Amino acid sequence: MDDLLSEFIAETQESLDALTNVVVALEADPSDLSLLDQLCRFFHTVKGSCGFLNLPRFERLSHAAEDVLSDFRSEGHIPDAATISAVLAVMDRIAELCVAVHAGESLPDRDDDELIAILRRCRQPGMLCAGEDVSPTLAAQKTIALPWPGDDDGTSSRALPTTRTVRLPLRLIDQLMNGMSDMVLTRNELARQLRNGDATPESVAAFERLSSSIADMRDIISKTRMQPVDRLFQAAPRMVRDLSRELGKVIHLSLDGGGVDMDREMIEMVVDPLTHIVRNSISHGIETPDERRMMGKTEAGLLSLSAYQSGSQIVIEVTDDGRGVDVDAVANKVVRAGLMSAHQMALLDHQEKLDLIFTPGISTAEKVTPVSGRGVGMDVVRANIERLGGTISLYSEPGRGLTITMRVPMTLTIIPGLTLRAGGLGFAIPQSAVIEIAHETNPMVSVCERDGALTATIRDTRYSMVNLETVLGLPVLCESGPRTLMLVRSATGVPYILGVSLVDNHEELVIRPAAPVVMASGLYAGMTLPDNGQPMLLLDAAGVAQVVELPLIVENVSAVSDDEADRARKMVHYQALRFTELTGEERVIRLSLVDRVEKIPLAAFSVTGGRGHVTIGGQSLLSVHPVHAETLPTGVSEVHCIRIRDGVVDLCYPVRAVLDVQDVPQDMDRAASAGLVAGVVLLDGQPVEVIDDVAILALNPDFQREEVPSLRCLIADREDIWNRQILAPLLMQAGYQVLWGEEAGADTPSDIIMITGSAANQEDTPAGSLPAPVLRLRSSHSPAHPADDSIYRYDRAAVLNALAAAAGQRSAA
Amino acid sequence: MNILYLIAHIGGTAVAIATDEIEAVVRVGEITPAPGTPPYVAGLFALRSRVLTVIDVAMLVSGQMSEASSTHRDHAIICEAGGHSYALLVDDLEDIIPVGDEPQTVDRQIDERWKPYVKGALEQGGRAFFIFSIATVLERCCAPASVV
Repeated sequence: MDDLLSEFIAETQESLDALTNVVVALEADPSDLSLLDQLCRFFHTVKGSCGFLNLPRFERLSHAAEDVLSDFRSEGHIPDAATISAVLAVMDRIAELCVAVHAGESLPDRDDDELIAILRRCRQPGMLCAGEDVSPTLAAQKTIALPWPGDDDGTSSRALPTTRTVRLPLRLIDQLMNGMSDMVLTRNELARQLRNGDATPESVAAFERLSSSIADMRDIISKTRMQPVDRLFQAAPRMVRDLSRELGKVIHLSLDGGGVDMDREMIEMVVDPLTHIVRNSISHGIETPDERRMMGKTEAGLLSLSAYQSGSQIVIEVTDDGRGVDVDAVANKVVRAGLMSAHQMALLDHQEKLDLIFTPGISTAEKVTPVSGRGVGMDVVRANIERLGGTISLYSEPGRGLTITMRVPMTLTIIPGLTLRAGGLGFAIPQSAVIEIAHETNPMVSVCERDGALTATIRDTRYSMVNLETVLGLPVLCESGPRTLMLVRSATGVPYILGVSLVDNHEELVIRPAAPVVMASGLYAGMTLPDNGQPMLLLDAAGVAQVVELPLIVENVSAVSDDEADRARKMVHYQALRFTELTGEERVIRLSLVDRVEKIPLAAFSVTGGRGHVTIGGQSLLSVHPVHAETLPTGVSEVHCIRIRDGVVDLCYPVRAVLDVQDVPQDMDRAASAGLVAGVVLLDGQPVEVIDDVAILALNPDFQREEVPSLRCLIADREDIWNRQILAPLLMQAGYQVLWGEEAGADTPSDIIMITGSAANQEDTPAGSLPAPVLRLRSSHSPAHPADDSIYRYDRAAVLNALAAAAGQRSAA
Repeated sequence: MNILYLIAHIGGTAVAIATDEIEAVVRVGEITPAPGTPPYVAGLFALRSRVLTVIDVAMLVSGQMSEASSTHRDHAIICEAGGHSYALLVDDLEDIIPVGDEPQTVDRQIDERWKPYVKGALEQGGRAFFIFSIATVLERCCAPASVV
């Protein structure tokens, strides 16, 4: 807080100096509203800052002055000389207070009320202060209110701040930085020449001295751009105070800047994301005192902001001890918004689900409060942080709290970068823009071209791809090694693949702005001069995608999350057997289903009723496909068979050839269930159909009988042909017992009563009067009315589900 | 009062350039191409530790490859604008000449494309030169949108 205070004092004093001229100018031309605005802004700033610095006298004075001035402003009145004198008197008093506060002495005990009263009297336009009335008072005030800076009543000894500052335009500092890197490069050049030529020990020693003083200088100059990170937290106390009052929460705020310095520009750019996160913590994270008491926590929530340095990065952490993130709520929202299927969601672990909070348009807030939930979400926060070359991560313990960690580089001018080659030229790219690098020949990677558009699949995720040479109009040269694919970030956060000849090296790059004519291409973010003296352009990954209007796609789970967690994520794969069907298609089947592969003589196959059978060792097995000798090439006497067994089921799957055992991603590129096929995956760039495990096991007629609990189904109307010929066989095939209404008599116990035909959609069959649950089957496709709970009679799956549910209930009862 | 002019050849034409527009004259070495930029941007060149953007003036003016621009040129005029340094490639450099007379208005018919860059005419030693404006070249480089 001391730092904040001294900074406040220094700033206020600076502004006061500048504003004295403004007041004078205002007096000269009272109609100049922009001057009035400047004054109002000053008092407003002072008022705002001193609220949380606990400087009540500052606050009252500036508040009064702002009030009066803004009245003038809004009413369009022109302040007269007396008002301006009064304002000046307030400014002098503030200056006086500044000196006292800075020196840590008690504030000069003078009556502020009098000054304020004079000000307020100026406020009524009808009662413009008559010069005679006020001036003597003011004159008296002025003489006593001017102890600073050159007063000799004892205040002069404590007059000025000990650390004096000057404000410099940032441009000047940039020029210094550039001059500095020039010196570093010249030094490198000199070092080369000294190595090549015959340098005397004296000149080498002199060079060493030069070298070390250049290094020192470089450090110092880098610091000119730096400011303490505490500045980042400056606005937090006030915000926490205001918000917690508004929301009726009690929050202890702890700040720890860790004595770390950070690039001034960087601080300015991190303020907004940080503010957003703090707001979220207060409004969503930390509970009200009542809720906290019920959960056995202290009534006051704890919010802590801290910063520390880690390598060339600054780590900023926001930790609260609130309720954490409701991961399931986030997941549900993502599914409800149609961004992911429930199936994909099920494959994510806790942390991945948590990261879904960065999905655009997802907010955990159940309702919009004045504070948060206005649709600007964590996705924007993340985009802002990533634009700075930083990262953001979450750690949530439900009910215990949430920690959000932002890592940002210390400065924008020296960045870690990668150098790469494309079309025979060298380029650089910020390392922060690159998520992953893979060689084209990596087995996890496949590139495929469709209608001239490239896509590349890394593991189970398919991205848009473009070759850098194509973007830049360069020839793709034949290099000795494989090409390199870089997964890079675009402006929208959806990554894409940039293909280059090779990635050379990783180095710290001093970035300088490129000429406007070069920047106008949109492809570059600047330029750099590596130690070899050959200039290089710094690619802007986001810009490249925009310039070539790359359609950004990410297929499957990673569409909503491309975070680091994704990379580390264990991609869910399973081993599968790849084979060619008798009819020629390539398919895969889960290896764990396969018992063995064997050759079976053609003669063992037979077909009855359209279904294939195979006789092995005197036992007849179901053949997945019927085998017709005439469809096989002549001379074939044996058929390859995959034997499928899961303990109960024993099947024979005749195939043309078994190809390979491969790792197949759990996520299908296209889930399209049809018959035995569950969907399609891309293997080596080729679409391959995946056999549906369940469908194939269900082929075995014995299979379902094993599984189904017994259920007595009472069918009401025996006369109905549909009931006799369709429903009853279906039920029996599914393993249920069928009873007929008339034969059984009313008192025969049954587990479920099935009502069909026109009776099904009549409400007059009183369900309550029947001795068992009722299942109505209707013949129309759509329900008759909204409350209609009947099932369409040809919706086989729904009918069987309902029966299985009834069976389950019965066995549970 | 003499004004110094540098006589340079741009796109096969000898022109006079006021020396107060020129920071230095150098021979450029290897140029790093800057693909994706307008064709008149020849690339980047490092002069000691400064990185210069190299502009092919003949191409900027004429909008096409001149015969001269296909031959190897290594003379460049260095100048600065908007905090960025540029090296303007020219075909050849002659000499610096002092000119006492006021520049004359252009009385000859000149190519439309050259017009924006020509700020007057000079006669010296029986030869006539256009006065070529570096400032116009730099303006175009600083506001590339107007050129593209």
